[in-house]
Amino acid sequence: MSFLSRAAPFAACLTWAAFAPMAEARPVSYPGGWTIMQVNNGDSSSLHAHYSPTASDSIGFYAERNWAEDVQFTGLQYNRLLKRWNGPSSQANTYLKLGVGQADPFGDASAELSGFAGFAADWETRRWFASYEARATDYAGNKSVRHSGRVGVAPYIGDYGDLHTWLMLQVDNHPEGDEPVTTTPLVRFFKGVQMVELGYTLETEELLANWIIRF
Amino acid sequence: MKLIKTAFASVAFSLLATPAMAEQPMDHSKMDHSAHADMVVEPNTDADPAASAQTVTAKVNGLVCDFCAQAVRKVFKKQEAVESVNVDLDTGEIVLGLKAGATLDDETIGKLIRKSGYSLVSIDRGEGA
Repeated sequence: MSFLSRAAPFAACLTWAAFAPMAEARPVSYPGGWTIMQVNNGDSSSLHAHYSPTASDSIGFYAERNWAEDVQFTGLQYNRLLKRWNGPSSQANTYLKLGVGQADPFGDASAELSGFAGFAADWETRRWFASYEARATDYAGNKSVRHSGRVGVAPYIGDYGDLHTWLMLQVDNHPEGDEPVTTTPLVRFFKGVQMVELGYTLETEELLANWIIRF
Repeated sequence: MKLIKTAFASVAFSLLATPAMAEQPMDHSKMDHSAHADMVVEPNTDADPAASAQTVTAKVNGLVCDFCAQAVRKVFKKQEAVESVNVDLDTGEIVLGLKAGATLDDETIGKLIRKSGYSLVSIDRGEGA
């Protein structure tokens, strides 16, 4: 398949994602900041290490091993802060995420040019959190779309440097999946430059474990 | 099987990432340093702001988490004039302690806060201004 014939549906997915209703964790750091993000759930395990030249952009390496789609993706990811609203006690953001690289299907199939596009939005105070993300992927010709939304509450308010704890509920929609809609209660621990999330997906009885380290 | 893979990947990454913990901010005023004198830490309180030649307090919108606080600290700590940076998430304030004889004008402070990704509301200069 030529690049153009692949790019057309990819662009359509991006357009759709950009206009989808409102996401997930902040993929952009401060100028000169590095971030390592690792996400693990029942379907996939991914690693994203990125550098932020500005407070609005980041670029880095992204790798994902996806057991749901039997594919390994390796490539570059660019994240763009589209808009930030800073309030006296709140912050809201919208982001664009683009990835391009190579997908290697499990088995004998050869690797193919692949990619993904995502739109994310979040709103956060020191007590409340809400986010939404839409992500369209084309991994070796296997196209799919996912939606993920979260709400969270901090049972106590800590100072800078304290251990912060969040109780969250994540709902995922993956129309092509065996379980199109899944719910994952999780707990987020946040201290200094590190964030850890542990959860359990009720429908699939699978563990969620995420890490973010910023330095 | 997926559960095992997930758990294994997480543990493996945790082990790889452990050195990064050395940078996590801590409140040193409550700690005994003798047991980890070799650690590289980055506390919120670099020095007593009152001991600085001049303090500047900037009220900022958008400071809601430790990542936000770290962002403004990292950006201001690169400034030659800045001796200490203290972030108070409760009040949304950044307290800058300036070095003796050093200055940092309002325009530069506003620019650095915007560069960090946040919005400046007001600037209050201490008595030493």
